[in-house]
Amino acid sequence: MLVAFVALAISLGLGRAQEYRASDTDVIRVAERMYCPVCENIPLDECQTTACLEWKDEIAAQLAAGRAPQEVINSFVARFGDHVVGVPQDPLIRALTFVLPLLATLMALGVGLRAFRQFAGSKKLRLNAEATGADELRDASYRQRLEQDLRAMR
Amino acid sequence: MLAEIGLSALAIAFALAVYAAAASALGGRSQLARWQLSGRNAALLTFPSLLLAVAMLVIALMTEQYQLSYVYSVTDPQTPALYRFTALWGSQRGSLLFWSLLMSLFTTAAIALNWRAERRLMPYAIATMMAALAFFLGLSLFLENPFERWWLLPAAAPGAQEVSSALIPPLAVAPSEAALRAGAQGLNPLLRHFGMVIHPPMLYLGFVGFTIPFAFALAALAAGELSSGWIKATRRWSLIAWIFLSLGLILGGRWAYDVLGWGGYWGWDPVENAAFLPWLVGTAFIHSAMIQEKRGMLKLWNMLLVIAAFSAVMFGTFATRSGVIESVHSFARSEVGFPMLAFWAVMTLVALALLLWRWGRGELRDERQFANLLSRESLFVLNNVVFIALFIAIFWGSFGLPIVSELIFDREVTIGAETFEFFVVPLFIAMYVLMGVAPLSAWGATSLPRLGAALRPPLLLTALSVLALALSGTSLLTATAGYGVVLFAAFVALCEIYRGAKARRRLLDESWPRALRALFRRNQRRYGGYIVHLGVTVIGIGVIGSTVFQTEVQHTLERGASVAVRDYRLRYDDFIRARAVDGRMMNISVVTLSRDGREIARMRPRIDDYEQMPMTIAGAHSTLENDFYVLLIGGDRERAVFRIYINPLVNLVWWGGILLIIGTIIAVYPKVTPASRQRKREADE
Amino acid sequence: MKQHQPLDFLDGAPAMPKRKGLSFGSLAVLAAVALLAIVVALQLTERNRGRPLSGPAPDFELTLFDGREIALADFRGQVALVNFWASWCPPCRDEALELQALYSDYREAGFTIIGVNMLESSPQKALDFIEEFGISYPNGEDREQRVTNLYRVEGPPESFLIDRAGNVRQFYIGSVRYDTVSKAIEALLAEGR
Repeated sequence: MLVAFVALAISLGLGRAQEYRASDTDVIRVAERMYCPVCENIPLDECQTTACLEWKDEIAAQLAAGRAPQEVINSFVARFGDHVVGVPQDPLIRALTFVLPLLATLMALGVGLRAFRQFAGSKKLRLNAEATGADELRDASYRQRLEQDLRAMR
Repeated sequence: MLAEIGLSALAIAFALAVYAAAASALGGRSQLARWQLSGRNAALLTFPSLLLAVAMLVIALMTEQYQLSYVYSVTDPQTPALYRFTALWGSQRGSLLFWSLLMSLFTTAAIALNWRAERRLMPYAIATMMAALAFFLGLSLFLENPFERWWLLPAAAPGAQEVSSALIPPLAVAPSEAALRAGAQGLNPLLRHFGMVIHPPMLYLGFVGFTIPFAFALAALAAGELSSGWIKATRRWSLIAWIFLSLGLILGGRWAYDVLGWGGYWGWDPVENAAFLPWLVGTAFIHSAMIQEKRGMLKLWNMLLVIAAFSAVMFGTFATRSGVIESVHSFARSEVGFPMLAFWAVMTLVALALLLWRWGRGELRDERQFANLLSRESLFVLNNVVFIALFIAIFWGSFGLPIVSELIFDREVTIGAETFEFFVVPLFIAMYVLMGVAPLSAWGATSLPRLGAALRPPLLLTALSVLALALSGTSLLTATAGYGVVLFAAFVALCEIYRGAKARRRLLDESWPRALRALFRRNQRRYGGYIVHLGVTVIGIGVIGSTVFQTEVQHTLERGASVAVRDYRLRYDDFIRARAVDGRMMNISVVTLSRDGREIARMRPRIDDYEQMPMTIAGAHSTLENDFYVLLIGGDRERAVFRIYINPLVNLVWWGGILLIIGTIIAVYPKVTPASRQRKREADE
Repeated sequence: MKQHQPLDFLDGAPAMPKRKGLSFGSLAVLAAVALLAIVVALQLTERNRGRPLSGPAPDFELTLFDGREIALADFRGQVALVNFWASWCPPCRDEALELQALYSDYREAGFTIIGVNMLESSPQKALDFIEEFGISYPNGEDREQRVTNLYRVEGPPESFLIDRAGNVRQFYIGSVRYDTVSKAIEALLAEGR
């Protein structure tokens, strides 16, 4: 009876000791979203320097302790700043990153449309006459060449 | 002896370039043939001069003249002969000289091919080219001289006795051969790869190539010759620069994929982006130039694009060589930074000022008007907007934002792939849609029903393909939509080729092969262009497959054990340590790949230990379906750590690249027809 | 007399602007390019700035592991050694006892060491290191790598010896030896107030 109890206790203890160990792949899933703090522009999962390996060990430890991937990343960002992830976290800089190119593109599109409308307006009538013949334009030069070929062959 | 000749040749080339720039500019202004010819001849002489200088450096590299500090820094006694040669462009000084050589080569070719045809533009064009060449030669001569040598000054204080200088210091003594050999540093092991042989030269040819169209554009602005002459010369040279740049980019991607061991081929690193930006502008220009040639429109756009392409090249090379941004590709910090920034700023401002002045005077007016929104001209303008948007987004992410963030907000940021993909994906989708619609729309005007009718066959084919993909189990909706858009563009190109060949068959009763060959021969630009588009779509399919559906895992395996990844099984068999000829220690693992129980490949991923750093060389099993790509991360004989990538469809990226190059060659191949032979005869008289 | 017919292809085209210089829009474009050049030049200057091997030592703030906040300026009047380290760096382990010895020997005379912990994977590892070597001088984690960037540190261990006036006088890369540094400290301490 005592033996059975001890055996049960031991097996329960062993069961608890086989805790969740973060697999290498799990670590990669987190590390691929981060960047090496020393080397330039190298994702953390690819970097093999001592510092990066230490960081990956820490990620493994944090994942094993049950933290979610995003929490792990946030803890590193809090200590080392925005440049360890690929998207700026600071709200102002993040806004600058995304909004400025969008604005610039919209402006370029706007300028293009305005120039187009400026030139297109008065020509409507003449254009409709052109429109029916426009598709012939596409094949015209080609047809010309074909006919040249035909004449040459005769 | 070598260094003296090389230095003299370099100095002569610099003097010639300065003189040629001044004389040609004077000749352009005064229209005096005397100055124009003098400038031209001086320009032509720069090439033999530089060739001599480069030859001296190459000989020094090949014959191990370690007294030259460049040879000392990029080679060592163990370097194999091939990498001695490629060390010419292995580091800042040699690569600057090589760059100048290529610029001189292009200038000579431009003069040879265009002197007669563009007679009115040539003086100013030569002046521009020579000004650029003079700048780079000045950098080589005064700041980063490849002919500096090591000297010992016994008379100087200890610690100041070793000196590197181009001119011989007084009382200097050459260091001993043995000491030099022992200390020679050798090149970064990452650069000892076959990719080094061809990737930098191709890239440089692409970069330098954009100087020529810029020179013609600037000449047109300076001389007021703004009709059609400059666009013809510019477009052809842009295409040539564009081919080399495309090759350089594709080879760079392939090299990174093969050797650098991270399972990818494009990292959105600022220096990579610096090479991509001129390619984007160049592509926009090649298309937009067609409009000016056919309809006399978009002159302002085209000028802007040519200037932007050159400006992007100069800014890119500045950013790479000055260390202003963080990058894995950066050269070591050097003094060329500020001069290059100044050069970029001056060239861009002068060109823009000239352009805006001419435009303000009304000399760049469109000869026709925009008809309607669906005409080919309008779609090409939309195309320009898409490429400009890509340019802005990538420039901002690589340079603009990081610099602003560090300077103004005192915060370092990393703009990673995720951020770039946010912008780039929708824009590339727009590009593929345009690639499909624009060839079907007509010059002048297209009514919607007509366009719709033309679109029906490719759209139908696309819908069928997408359906087939969805049914076959491609799970992600976004990926299927992506494939759909890319395939649409492909089907348009294929349908157009089919229609053209069918028309020939109907009229001339030719067989399919003859029809196709005649089609391509008579309409090189158009159908070569379709092949290029096909290449781009094949690349697109490869990129979607290898990015969206990539599998990446890492496992530790004991010897003899195996792991299952998707429907493959990888078994770790053996481990060999061996020393290579050049002294590196190779740690080679042997793994076997099986699928469905059958062994299909044996691979040898390994780690090479050079003194300073280890290099990871992947083992890969490549098929059209995917690449099974294995990296040895670490470990020993008993257990090793492997990182495994499955990259579906990645080989389509390379095949698509080949198709792109073939298509471009078809499009630019000089046509020797009876008509052109006659024209040449007339020109020679 | 024939009426002079206006050439019809000029119909509808906007009139040619008669302008001698550059329009406002054009100037704006040129100004934008010039501004970009200036911004990049400023950034390049900043980047080219190397390690502070002489002259005034850049001031910084550090939050110590025990929660206190200190600044380098607090130690003006003393001789200070700013030491960059990490627990995973073997030379840092080699020099830890030497540094502690220097601190305890010269502390009374007006010397201090400020330890800046960089690139550490977890603060606990740093604390374990401090406990293992019995380090008692002020130590803190470099938040957002500010101090590391300020001093252009490339990798631990690196140390900067700063005199009473706040100027950098010596730079050590790699682990320091007691004898080498003690001589320098004594010389700087001797430079009276």
